[in-house]
Amino acid sequence: MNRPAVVLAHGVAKRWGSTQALAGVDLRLDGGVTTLLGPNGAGKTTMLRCLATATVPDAGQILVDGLDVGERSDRTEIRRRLGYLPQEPRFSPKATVYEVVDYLAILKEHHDRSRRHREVVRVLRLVGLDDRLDARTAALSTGMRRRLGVAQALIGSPSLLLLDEPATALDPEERLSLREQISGLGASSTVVVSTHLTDEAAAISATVVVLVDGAVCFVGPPVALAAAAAGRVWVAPTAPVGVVRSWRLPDGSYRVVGEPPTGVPLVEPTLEDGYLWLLGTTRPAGTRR
Amino acid sequence: MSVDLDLIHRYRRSTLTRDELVKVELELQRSPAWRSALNDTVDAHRLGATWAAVEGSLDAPTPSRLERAATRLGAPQHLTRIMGATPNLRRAWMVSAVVLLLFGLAVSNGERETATIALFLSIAPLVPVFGVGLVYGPGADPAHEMATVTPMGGLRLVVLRTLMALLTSLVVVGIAAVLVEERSILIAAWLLPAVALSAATLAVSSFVPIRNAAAGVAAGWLTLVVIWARIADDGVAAFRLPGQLVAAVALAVSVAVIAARRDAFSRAVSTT
Repeated sequence: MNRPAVVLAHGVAKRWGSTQALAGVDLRLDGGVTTLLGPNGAGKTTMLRCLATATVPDAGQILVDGLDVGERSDRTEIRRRLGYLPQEPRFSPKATVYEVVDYLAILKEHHDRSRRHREVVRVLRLVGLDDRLDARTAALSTGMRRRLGVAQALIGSPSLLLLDEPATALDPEERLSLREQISGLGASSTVVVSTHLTDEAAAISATVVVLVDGAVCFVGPPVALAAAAAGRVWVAPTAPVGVVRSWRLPDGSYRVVGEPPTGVPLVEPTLEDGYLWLLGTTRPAGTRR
Repeated sequence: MSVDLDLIHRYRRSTLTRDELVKVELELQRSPAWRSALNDTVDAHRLGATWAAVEGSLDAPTPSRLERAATRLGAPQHLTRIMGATPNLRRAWMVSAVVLLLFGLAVSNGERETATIALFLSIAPLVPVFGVGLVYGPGADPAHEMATVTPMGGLRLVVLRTLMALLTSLVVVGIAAVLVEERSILIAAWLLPAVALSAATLAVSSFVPIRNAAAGVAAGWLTLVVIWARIADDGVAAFRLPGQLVAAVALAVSVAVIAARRDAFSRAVSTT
């Protein structure tokens, strides 16, 4: 069984034109499933691309098992240890499911044909596509293409698995199946999943990292993130003003996150409440775009 | 009938007589004890490996003619698969083959021989340039981002695909050269410029997208050839010895730039 990779990021910064995508991110990942949570444009994808060696940070350092992502000599060795699902995985439309994974397995140095075949079938079985080996990727649903992307990331049982919004476009059953797989992989790999879905983060991760405007504003277990809103969530009969966030519930009342008025009955916060509280109140210094 | 182990062993070694073979086959069909005895004589590890190989062959993509030809010539199977998995590579070959063969046929009976050769020599080196431009980057390979972050990604994959495009183009242009009715050594003068321009395309692509690089190098090359021809009042001036020396220098500079800029090939161009 693999040993999970140890990832250290220190002061990672990246700018795309006038946009500061990452502004000095510090992270330590050591096994288990970590979720990068944040609104669109928070820098989740850029951070994953930096970890995946697809993008070079402008500043800072990323070490994977002590190997430096910025060093050419270390990069190939890091790539032998990682699996990466980009945000929008694309495949040649005429290629079959088998051909896609087989091709990427070759690039991952699985050169022996018999062993490669076993590995290709194994990863496709893991994502439930082993009955569609000959299907062309153009004929796959969006969810199936996403699962194909996950399959190629699993080739070689990587010790560092980076999944950029893997649950997007999956139906509830597929999503549940993916959750189980990701949770299982956390035992032998360091898994980093980016999402903007709080229920996904709560369901699969041991650690949640909240990114806002390219900076880390929370690191901890999901319960700790939920606890950030403790004493700040209540249900009101009408829409309040001057609160962090409120939304209408099916029964016509409003769930409210903010500083509560005196005497209001409070409710147990969820991870989503904690996340919204954090977004509404945290403004990391020096990260304005 | 009780199991005859001697027959079983000889069955495995294929040394039975015809009658014995029929007898054993019948027993294997109807008797679990005979089948079990046969199973016991089989090396499970070897059987598993054989079965895996059979499954692998059945599931694996059918190699294209080019893949099969390359494998027969001794290329490793995994490299020929990369070749086959690059659709634009096939397209590049097809286009270059058709264009050059038609060109070769069209000029093969030309009356103005020098002009014919000059035209051929000017265009021939551009075939691998466009081949190189077609086989790398997100436009050529939809899985570019995933491919780049593999151990074989980056410069290794770029060079591999470039060599594939280059070698194939050289073969195609070589065939076209035979069709040109000129038998002087000059007809081979496109070879070094072709390699130099391909390397230059790669070098420039470390700064700009590869298709822009290919277009820029092609435009620069044609401009150079025309200006040189005008100044020297010789249509093939760029292909004589000084021109070959310039090509050699350009090749060396391009290789140096590629080596110095190799990190640029290691970054995936985001498709999102």
